[in-house]
Amino acid sequence: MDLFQNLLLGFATALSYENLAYCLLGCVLGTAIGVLPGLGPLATIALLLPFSFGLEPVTALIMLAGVYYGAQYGGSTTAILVALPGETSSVVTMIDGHQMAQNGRAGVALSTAALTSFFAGCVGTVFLATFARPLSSIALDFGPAELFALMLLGLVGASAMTSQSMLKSLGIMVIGILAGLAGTDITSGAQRFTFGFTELWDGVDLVALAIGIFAFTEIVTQLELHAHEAGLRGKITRLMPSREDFKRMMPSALRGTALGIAVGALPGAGPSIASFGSYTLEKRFSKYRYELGNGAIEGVAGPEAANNAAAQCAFVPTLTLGIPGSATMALLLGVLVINNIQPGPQVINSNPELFWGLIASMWIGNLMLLVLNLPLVGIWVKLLKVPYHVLYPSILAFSCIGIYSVNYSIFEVYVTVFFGLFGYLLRKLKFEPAPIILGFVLGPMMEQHFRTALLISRGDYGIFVKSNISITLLVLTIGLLLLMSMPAIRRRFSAVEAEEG
Amino acid sequence: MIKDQTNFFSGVLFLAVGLGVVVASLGYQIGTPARMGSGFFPLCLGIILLFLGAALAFQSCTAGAIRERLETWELKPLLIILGSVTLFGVLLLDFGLIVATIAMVVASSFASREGSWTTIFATSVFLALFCYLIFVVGLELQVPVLPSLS
Repeated sequence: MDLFQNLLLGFATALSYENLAYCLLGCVLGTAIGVLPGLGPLATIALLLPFSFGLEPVTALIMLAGVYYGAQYGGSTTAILVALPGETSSVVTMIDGHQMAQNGRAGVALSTAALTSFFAGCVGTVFLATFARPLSSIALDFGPAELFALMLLGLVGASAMTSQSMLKSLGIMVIGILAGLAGTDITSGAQRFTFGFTELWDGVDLVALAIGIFAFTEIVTQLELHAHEAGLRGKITRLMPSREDFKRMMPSALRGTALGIAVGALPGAGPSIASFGSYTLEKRFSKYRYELGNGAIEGVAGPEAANNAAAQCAFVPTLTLGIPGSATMALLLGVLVINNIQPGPQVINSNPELFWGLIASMWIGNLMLLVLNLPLVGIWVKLLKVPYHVLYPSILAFSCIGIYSVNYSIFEVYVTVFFGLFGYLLRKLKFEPAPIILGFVLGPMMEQHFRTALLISRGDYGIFVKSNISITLLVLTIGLLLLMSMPAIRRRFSAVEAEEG
Repeated sequence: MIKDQTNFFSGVLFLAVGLGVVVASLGYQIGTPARMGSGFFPLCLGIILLFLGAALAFQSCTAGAIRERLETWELKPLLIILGSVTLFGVLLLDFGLIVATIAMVVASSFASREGSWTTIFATSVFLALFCYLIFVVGLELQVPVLPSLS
């Protein structure tokens, strides 16, 4: 099967009425939450997980992926119009984008953001389609020792990329793994960490954990801050960029896309890092670098292209290796696990319609977002007028029913309350809780691989350094740990606010 | 002397969880590396957590640590939000979805000082009906809708 045939299969899957409808729903919801500050893609995907259980896995993934990249589009809209970045990754867009709006070029800034995002999204999708297969075939003959090493690298990589101290990041990830181990041990049948609750025999529910730690904690924090008013400035007049604008945005968009693809494919680095990196790149290489900061179109085009390309390419390690690069990706992997699809390199071969359908839907979704964002921008901005005291009870209501519906169990509601409390504690101790989800999803698989590897080697730990692949992976992991514990690099890095998604 | 309170207490959190995990894991079967029991992997993780916690707590007391005080805790929103969710759980099976949702929304609105009673009540009724339509009618969720009279 060649690429063309695969894409044909993908489009056949993605273009079914049901999948198109859910793709649109995902994109609309994603844009909405991107516009609304204080409600990230992570919390939203957690909220939508229970809805997706009744769906085909490919439909569920298409919708949730739409939420994820839709949020990147929506986040930049508010950043430009009201200087309120809906997502961390659009903080950089705000600098020049909002300046452009104040200079009366709000429409041009918005369309630049949308067009470059679309461009980068398309390139990113093509990249994903081309390189996913070769990459996954390398990983296909990985044994348990290599898989363990790969997951270790993924986890350490993802926790290295947050702005908190390495120790905190690793610790919270370990707690995530432990939460993932709770319940019945599949190998021995013994109960672990169930504290006498029979309801915990099936383990902690991903939805309860994610909603508790992310959605509830976010609401409580917003209420503590008492700050959710936004004033709209700058009228949207002319939407289409001029010829001159196009000429100026193209080089930046290309640079941003290239950077976004490179960064996005790394485990742990996400759209935020890509957009910050792109701005730095523009400052150094753009012909108009002296105008940056005063409403230069390059400052919008570069970062927007970068964050969207990165959002798209974050699917590369997730889908090909089964190693999620961020907490959001871990939630998407959770969808596979819930549907009894073991994530990993074999997914492309065992579920081709799922893989290629998702890729095709991304391209369709990006097209939908272009339409959703440009002519309809006025509607999205109105969303900002929804007062928080109406918004948060709605989020709570959906969360409650959603959690209950997972297992038809009130107990899950109380588990969520527990994680809400825990999430608040983490927030007060200035943790960035994202690694907990990664640990939670990957932890049980890691234990399995660890066990199987040592079973094969009859207890000889040497199996982890037997093949070149696992040696390379372990050396990379150790190198990353050493690198990130060097204070100079740490400090540079924490200037870049880590991604919340 | 503790210089960085935030990190110090984070370390304490790790130590406490780590200790609990180690104690619990020792109660499970440990086994040998070749035939691992259910306690083996958690025990390793517990020990790692203890090390991380100790390092973090130690680091926060060294001269190089940046002075940082613990953030103040404003417990009111936290307790109201989590309390109203708990209320939803308590009410759902006996009083049905409509009552539980309305009660939850009204209770949670105490966390914010904005919004008049009319808005709050209208929101709660609207949400209750909306959730009924989406979850019960649309998604055919099996849940009591109205109070069971017994």
